[in-house]
Amino acid sequence: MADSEESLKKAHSEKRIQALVSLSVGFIFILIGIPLWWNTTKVYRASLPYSEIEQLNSLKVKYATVINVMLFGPQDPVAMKEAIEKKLRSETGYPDSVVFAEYKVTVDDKHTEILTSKLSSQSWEDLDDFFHNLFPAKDNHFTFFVLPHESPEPGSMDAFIGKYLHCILYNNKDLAQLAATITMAIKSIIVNEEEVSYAFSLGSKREMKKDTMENMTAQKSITGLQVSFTLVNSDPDSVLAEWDIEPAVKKYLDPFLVKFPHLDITVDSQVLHYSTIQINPRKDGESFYLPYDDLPHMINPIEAKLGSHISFYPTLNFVVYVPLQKYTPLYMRTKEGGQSKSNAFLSPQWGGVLIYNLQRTTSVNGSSPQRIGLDMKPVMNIFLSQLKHLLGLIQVKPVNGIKLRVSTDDNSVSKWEQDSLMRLKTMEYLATSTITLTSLAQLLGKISNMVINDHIKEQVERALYSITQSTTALEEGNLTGAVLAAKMAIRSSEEAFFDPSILELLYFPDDQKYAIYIPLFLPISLPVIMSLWQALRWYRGENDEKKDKQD
Amino acid sequence: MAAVAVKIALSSLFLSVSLATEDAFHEELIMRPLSTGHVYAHFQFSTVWHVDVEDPKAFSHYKLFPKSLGQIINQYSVEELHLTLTQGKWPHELWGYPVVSAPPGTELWVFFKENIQKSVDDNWSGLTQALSGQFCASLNFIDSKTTTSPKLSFRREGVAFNADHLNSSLLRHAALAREIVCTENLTPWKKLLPCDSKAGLTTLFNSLLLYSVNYHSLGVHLRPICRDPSCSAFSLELVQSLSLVFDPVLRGGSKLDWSFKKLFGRAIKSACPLARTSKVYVDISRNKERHGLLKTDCQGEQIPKNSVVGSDNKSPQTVTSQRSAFIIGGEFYDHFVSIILNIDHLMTNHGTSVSLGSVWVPASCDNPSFFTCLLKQSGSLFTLAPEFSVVTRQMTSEYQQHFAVYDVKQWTLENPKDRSLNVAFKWKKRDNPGTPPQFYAQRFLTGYGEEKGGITSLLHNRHPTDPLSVVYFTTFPWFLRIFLHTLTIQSGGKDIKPDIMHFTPAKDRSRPYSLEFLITLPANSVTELSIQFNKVFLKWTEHPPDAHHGFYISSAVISTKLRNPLNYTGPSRQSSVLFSSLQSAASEEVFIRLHTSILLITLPTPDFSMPYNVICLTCTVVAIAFGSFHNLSSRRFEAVDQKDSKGPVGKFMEMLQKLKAKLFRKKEAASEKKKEN
Repeated sequence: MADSEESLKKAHSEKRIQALVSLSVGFIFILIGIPLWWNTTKVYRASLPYSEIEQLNSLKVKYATVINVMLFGPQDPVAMKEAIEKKLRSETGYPDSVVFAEYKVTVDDKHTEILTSKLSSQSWEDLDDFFHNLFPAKDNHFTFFVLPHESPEPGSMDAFIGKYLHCILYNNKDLAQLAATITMAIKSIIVNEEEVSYAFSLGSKREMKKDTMENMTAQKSITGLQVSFTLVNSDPDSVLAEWDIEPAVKKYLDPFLVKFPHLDITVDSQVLHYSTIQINPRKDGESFYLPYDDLPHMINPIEAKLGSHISFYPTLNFVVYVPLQKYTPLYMRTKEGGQSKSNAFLSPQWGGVLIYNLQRTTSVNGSSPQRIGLDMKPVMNIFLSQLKHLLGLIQVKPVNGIKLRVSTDDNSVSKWEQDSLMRLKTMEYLATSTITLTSLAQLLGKISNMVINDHIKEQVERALYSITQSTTALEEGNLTGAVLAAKMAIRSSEEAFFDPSILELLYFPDDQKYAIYIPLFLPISLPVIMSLWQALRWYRGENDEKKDKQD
Repeated sequence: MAAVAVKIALSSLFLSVSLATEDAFHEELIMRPLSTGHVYAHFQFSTVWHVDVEDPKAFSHYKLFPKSLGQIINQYSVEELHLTLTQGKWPHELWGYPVVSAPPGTELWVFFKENIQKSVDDNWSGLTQALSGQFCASLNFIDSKTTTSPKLSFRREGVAFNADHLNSSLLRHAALAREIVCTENLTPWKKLLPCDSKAGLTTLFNSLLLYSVNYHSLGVHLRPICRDPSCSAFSLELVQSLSLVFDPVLRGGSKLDWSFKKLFGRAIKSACPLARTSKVYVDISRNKERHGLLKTDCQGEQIPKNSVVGSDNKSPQTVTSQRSAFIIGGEFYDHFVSIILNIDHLMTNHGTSVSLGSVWVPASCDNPSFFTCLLKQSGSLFTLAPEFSVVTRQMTSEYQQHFAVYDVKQWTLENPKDRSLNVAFKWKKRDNPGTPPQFYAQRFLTGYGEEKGGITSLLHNRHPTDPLSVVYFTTFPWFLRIFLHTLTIQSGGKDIKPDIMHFTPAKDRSRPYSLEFLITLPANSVTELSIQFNKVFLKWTEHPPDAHHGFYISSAVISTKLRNPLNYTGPSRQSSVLFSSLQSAASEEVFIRLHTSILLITLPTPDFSMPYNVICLTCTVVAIAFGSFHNLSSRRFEAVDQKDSKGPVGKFMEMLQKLKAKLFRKKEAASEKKKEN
């Protein structure tokens, strides 16, 4: 009897030990094994500021513009200020719209007799320079100079915008009329609210907007450019065209490009020989012509040799084409069928082509090809005006209601045009970088085994920081600061989005991963789970026994 | 009149000045009949760009120099670049030395500028990517596993700006033996030329025929050079070369005769109008210089003292040298030079097209057998049409080379009606196989099996008296475990100790082995180098797509300086054209770089469907091991009395019996019921 009791006890303690062993194995598996496996096989995902990115979806941009009105006439400045502010307020959109313009208006009375006499009898252009010298423009301040006298002829222009950051107006007795002119000028020319909000909504795709033809001329959301000049000399057997491109670039292009601080622009040039357009021109008397419909076909045969792949920036190509001697002189026809005046055409987002006719003066039988130099001035002038379009400067449309003259030069950029372009570009950059960031966050949220490196996190944070910097700069009216910060934002966000490390593990799907794990995990986990179950059963039995005993 | 003259003088002065400051482009073609009957054609296009090499901003306005390449070298701060894409092997022992030596596959070596922006390695990897896009070649496979910086073998070929120009830290060298060259590489290469293939010598390029050749080598060589003799300013020189070796028999017609139309399928139609020189050279030295044959065939014949020879019986002349009456080896050699000089003298008197055979008639002779022998040999070997203009000769102190020159520019001027230039070459009699050059090398794989192997090189120095110092450079991929202690260098049974040796051991998956040493080869000897290696198991992802094809080992590079080598026409260091003047001075020593053939080894290759099976197998083994340990630790196995416990089999049998009993009982019950019924 004692013997069996002892063996029973022994068996009991052994079961206990067995149960403890299986329990501890089970716990080791659950507490150490699974976390270890999980941590060693998961992909690295740095935590991105998702909530801040989420907020970008409802980002509101408020931009301030400082308006200075200087009265040289007898008006009351206080009444004038009120009239302008009232007018501005009444026509401005709702403050809760996505892009909101804000104006800070100051009105000064500069009415002095000495000036009055000086100001009469000067032309618009002289006045433009005169005011610029008298009141040197502060950055981000736009000034209206209201002349003491009224328009001499009733039908002529009321106002003039020149090369600088100011507008000159004739006086008007009707204060409301004057205020209306000023507001109109601000809203539709100097600030051009419509275009600004359009640029933002187009980039951010929050509202569906269609591109217009004019808008598509410039490449969107680029932070740098390669401007590439190419001289295509199609007939080097008889004529060797030569150009002095280096001094021409220094003389004409460099002062022009300085005005685009938001773009990193490099300029290069090359001469290509034996490249032809491969279209046969049509004969028209002594000369030859290319019909309007054939012009697009000029680009393809040349393009293969224009390329350079070293820069990440897009290229704008400007091609001077010297036609074959047998097709000289060669002219382009316009859409209407007339002869093109400039003999050049512009291809949106690509560049421009100019046909330059060179006539050989010596006889063709002569041995060596004749060297002829190009006159660079007309060439550069045409290319500058094309470049102006291709960089996104918008032509001023006539505004109903005010008679205003805008002095624009095809080959140069005035200060107010530059400011307005920077405003547009800031909007475009901001919109693009917000949409890049939000789609990056969306993508990373959707696909769980994408790697997120610390590098990406840094870039995203930098982009977010730059966006806030840019918007605050806009609110303060600091345009240069805003555009440079927005450029940083778009760069960082694009860099994060196109980081190659994101794609590293993308093509290793989950089902394959588990197919590899199953041969290991199934045979190991089965005995562990079974023994765990046994141990639990034993434990329950123990408890029941205890209860029985207690009972 | 005077005013006009002054004007002309001024304008010509201006022209010469403008020529000096302008970019220059030269196109040249050398044709050389090889002793095996093959024809070697070497095109060289050089563009000289007068740009401030050290100023990165100057690289923006391009005229003759290609913009796409200029931007790449500027972006990656390249000072000197040498790229060759080659297919086929060049047997030096048969063909002599090429103008530019290149290994089969791709070789790229680059010197970077000292004031480099990023690290040299970053620029190197960026440059290889950019060049692979530029030339449509798989240069992007160049990585740290194939890159080395040899210390002795490669030196700048252009101007060295920094004082420490022997430092190889700015040099990167890589070779991909697997790369194949084809039209896709030729097209971008042609695009770099100012005339593309629309005019000039490139009109000969017919892609179909350019690739059915025995040897094809595309090259791009870029180096900074001095703009003027005083070297006050620098220019950039881009030399593009294309070397071809044709087999004329394969081009139809069973003869070894050749012409442009036969080899290239077309003739030269025009000169590139942008080129300053546009010339074709045909090597006709074998027609004149007969010493090799004489040495073998007329050896032992006695030459008469004071023998008088004449040309067409007009002006009898004396053989000027009277050193030896016997033609024995080198001594005859001196004698023969004097004869050659006499021929030259005659030639300058009688015009250039006089051939050797017609000139030399022995007037009086003590021993007529020598001259009959000479006459038999000196009959011209081949004829060349059309009439060539000038014969230039590249002279070293003992040898002369003769080239027929066709100036394509002049040709098109002189023949305005039929402009095409078709050089035709006809053999009169079969040429004897030439003698091998003074120095050449071979390399083999030794050993068998999949575990071990060895590589043996044979270096031949055929100079009868002079020892030769050579630099031997070779790289091995990391998956061959090289054992340096097995390196043996022997010549005629004697060990040779290398004078200088650099060895860099490999790092797995990041660096190759590189071995470079300077040895002196004894005169008239064959030196054997051998080294042993073990093969390594690669990871299954490290095998190339066609794994059973094997792995290439890139060729060894051997550099040396030869005194007066035969059959050598190399580019001059000072000039960007092959022949800068009609008479070039003797250069005592010529730098020669040789590439041995590439080797193909097989490594143990796995069955590529294995990984999943292996995963399954190992997992199962681990699982079984774990299961049994787990059972052992959580259960006790005891011996049980068989009566007490029936065991699983017994239990099973019992179950079966129970089932049987149940079934049968049912049946029995049913039958009983039936019975009852």
